Amino acid sequence: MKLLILEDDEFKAEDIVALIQGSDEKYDIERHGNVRDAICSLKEGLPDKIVLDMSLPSHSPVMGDGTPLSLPTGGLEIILFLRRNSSPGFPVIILTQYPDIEINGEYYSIEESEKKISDYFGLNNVSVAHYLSDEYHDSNWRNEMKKFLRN
Amino acid sequence: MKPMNTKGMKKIRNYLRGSIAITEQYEVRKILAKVKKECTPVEHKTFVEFLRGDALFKNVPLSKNFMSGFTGVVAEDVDYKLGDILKKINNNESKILIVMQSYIELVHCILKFDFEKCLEIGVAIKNKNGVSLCLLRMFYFIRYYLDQMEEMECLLSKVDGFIRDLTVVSIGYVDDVIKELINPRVDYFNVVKTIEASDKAGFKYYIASDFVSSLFRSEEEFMEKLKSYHSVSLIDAYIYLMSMGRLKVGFIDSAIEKINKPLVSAFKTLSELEVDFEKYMIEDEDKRDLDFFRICFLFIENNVAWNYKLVHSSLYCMNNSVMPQRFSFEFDCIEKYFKDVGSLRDISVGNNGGLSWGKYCRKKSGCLENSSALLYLLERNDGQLKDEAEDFMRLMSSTSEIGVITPRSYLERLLSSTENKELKIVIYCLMLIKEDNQIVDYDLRELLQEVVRENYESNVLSLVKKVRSVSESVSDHLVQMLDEIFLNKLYDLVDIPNKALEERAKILEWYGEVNNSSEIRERAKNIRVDIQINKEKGYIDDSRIYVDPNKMIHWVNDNIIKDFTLLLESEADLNILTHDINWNSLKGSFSLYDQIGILILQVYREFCENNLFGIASYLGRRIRHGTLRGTALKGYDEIRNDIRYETLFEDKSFLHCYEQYMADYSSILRDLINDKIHIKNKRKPKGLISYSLDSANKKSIASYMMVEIISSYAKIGSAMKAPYIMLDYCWRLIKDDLESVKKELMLSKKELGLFSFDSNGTFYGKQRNLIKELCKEMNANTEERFRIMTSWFSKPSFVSPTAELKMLFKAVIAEVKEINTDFDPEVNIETSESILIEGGTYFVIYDSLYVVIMNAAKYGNSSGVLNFRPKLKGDGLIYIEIESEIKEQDDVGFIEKRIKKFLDKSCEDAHVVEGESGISKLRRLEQEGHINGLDYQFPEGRVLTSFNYVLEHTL
Repeated sequence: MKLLILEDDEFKAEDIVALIQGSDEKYDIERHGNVRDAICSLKEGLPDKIVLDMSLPSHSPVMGDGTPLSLPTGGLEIILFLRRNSSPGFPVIILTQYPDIEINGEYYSIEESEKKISDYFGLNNVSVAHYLSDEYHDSNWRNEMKKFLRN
Repeated sequence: MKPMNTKGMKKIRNYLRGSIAITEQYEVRKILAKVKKECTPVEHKTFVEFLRGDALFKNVPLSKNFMSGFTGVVAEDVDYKLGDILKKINNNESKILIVMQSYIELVHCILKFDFEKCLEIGVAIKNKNGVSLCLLRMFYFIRYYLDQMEEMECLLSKVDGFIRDLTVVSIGYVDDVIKELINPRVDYFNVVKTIEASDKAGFKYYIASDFVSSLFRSEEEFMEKLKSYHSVSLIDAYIYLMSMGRLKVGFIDSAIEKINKPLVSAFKTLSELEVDFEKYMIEDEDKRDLDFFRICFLFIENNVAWNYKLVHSSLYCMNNSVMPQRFSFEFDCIEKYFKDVGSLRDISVGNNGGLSWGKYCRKKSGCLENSSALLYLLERNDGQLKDEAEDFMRLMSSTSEIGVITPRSYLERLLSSTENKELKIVIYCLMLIKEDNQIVDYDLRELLQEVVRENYESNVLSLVKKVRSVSESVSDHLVQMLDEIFLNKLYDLVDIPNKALEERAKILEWYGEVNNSSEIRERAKNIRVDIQINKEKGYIDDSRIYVDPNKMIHWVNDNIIKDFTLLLESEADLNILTHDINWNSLKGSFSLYDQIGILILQVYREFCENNLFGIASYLGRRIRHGTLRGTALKGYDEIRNDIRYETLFEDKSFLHCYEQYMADYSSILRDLINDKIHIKNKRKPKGLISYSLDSANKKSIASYMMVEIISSYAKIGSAMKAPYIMLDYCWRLIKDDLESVKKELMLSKKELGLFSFDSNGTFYGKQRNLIKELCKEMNANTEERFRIMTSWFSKPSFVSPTAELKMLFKAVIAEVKEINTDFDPEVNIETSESILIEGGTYFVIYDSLYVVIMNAAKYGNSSGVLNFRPKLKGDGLIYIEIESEIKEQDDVGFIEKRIKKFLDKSCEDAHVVEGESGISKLRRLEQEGHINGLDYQFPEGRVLTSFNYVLEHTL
């Protein structure tokens, strides 16, 4: 099973990888930290599952190449890609550090956004969880991730 | 009027007695409010009727049934029924007929172009208390004509004087709406949007909205408008009622049947007077139809004007839901007008600028009429088009505002009915004009990439050029849309951020050429400089609080400068220093300075809120998003796991104390991250950064910003510097809020307090010392954590486009090397000083260096020594010296002569003539005051060029 992690925050990505590696399911993990590289990878072939961050830069930051665009809803670019190029049931989990997600200029809470993504983008297997680091002693995102990996 | 013998009426009588001597507006407002509150609706109406109609109260400053000038106070919220107003009209038949006779006479004089006589009649009407909004509109019609004529200043000023004498100042908003609607330099739909953005209540709104649509969509709306006109004058109520009678709607027909016949006949005479409107439309032959559409409310009593407005305002409007509400008479008029329009080919692809009165005429029609015709066809075909892609695209150049006026459902049907990809791109663009939509935006980008890849060798500009051959307007739109942000999101075509800048520069270079615009070419050149600087940048940008200056300036250029320039162009006499802006109530105002104020607020809001490059983006991405938490908690784990303290943590009470401290700390951080370090808005009411001007200091800074941008416009005659000034002032505006964030962090630290543990009875001897050490370490760490976090909320040094001078020099060398591949000098930068050039005008220094180094590459020793000696001088100057070697075979005397010849040459064409040595360009920069002290010396086989760069924007 191939799993794609789209995450630009090193600490968060490490947390996610550790959780996946500690689970019973075995995955080949590929990771990208910007929208362009993610889209290029998806165009080569869809993975089996995607772990997605919402806020991503447009390109990889490379000295001399210019400043990448910071995209607070960069993750939605991936959702929009999947809307056109995958089946409606493609499994995605969005792990965001924000308490809400902006869709078409409106903000939706984590709880509302799953339904909104399904209604608006036609993807009905997208779960959304609020990522909180260990200091917060909140295991919700971990439980959501485990559920996502099992299914 | 009713007898005054009931109890309630006796109360009214007392109020009336108290009103006779009122001369101040606030007193009228006060007594009206009191009567409204304490009396019944009938009593209130009776009271108002006395004040409006009885001679005893003629000096009370409240609008009258018949008046000699407008007053600031009108009686609103009076419970008038249609029957009340009809009765009043009939009861005042003779007075109305006298006024109408004068109005008819006035129109006859307008027809004869006898405007002196018009003024005489106007004065007579005023003396007969026949002033109304109708009279005001007619005089604005006269004014509109005279304003287009040369040598009519004297008459124009008399008309202005007459309008002033009507005390229009007291109905300022309505007067402003008239002026804006007829001002061809102001965007029509912007005026409409401004009216719609107002409170949508009160007589002012209903009258303003009637000027826009001249129709109503429900009986309630009709009554509101009738009552609004009635609140100004009885003449206006009568004229509105009779005007709407032309719609042939049942309930109005019944009302008009009750109106006395001579009154019906008087309006008929006025409405049927034959006016050849084309004779009054002189200016700007390209859009006479749109201009007439905008002014025809001034003469809406006239049947020709009314019919024109009726047809076009039903189609050329922003409100998509109008069609189902149309009156059958309206449908008939539209059908009759567009009788000959059966397919897209029946609509003109050129803008003939003419006016088609009774029927659409392809040979005469202008943009407005073509747009209405296209909408008519789309309506008729329910948004379906067959094999007419190119025709549709062509029509984009002979129509206007199609994105605004076409209902979304038609655009969707158009999209699914065509296979033509270029047309699909156009339709997506139209959809995005109508509303922001992520799916449409994504689909447009995907399609555009596909088309560019398949048909244009991955060259975006080639597509824009091809589109221009079909429709200039569509290509204009594409140029505007294909900004740096949009291009960055074309992931297939743009592999690195610099590529987006390169594509944007190419597009602007071409667009500058086809439009012969030096301003656009200048923008392209500046982007090229940014690319070069990006290439040379030796670091990845990682500031904390930040606004990307280039992206912000591009945004201002793309979204604000056009409106800003339009506003300033429309005002001949700019009052730079003495304006008084009420920053709290700009919305809905038409004053020039208030509108500039609105643009300033828009810029500041974008500066704070833009999710891509504004403060919000950096708050999220670089502060809240992991970094704040990571930084705040750094070091504690090391302390916790330090082997020295192991025994301490084995004690439950100590462990609890530590965990409690960390839990408190986490809770404080959660508050900061979730609620406080945010832009304040409805969702984040505790956000500490606010885009509104919520303090006297912010308002004062914003006023200074306005003064400076207007001064800059007045000085150089363009808005080129405005974006830089705006960016600079935005940083000044946000300073107080950044201080608030710092204070909040300090408060949080205080709230958290020091980590301490009462070891009495638990630990002894060395253990106690260990506790002291741990507490000291913990508290020092907390101190350091908060110090770091606080430091993020200071204005960064790189707040505007900034370049380090040495980097700029290296960027120029690199660019010259790209062009002259043989050029490979031994470069010496003879300074250790770091000199920052700020404010975007670093482009000037780039230009100057480019000229000198390019000359060294072209004419000098390409592998010789090149010395660069910059030095920061006092008085805001940087002294720059560049020394290069000449070719061994060259004679220094000849070179000296040649350079001096160029220095003496005229530099008038320096901006347009490229090539030669570029030295005249240096001279030009010197004349414009960007550099000074330009000098050439020729010591022993070398050329020594020196000049001073004048630092303009030091923050």
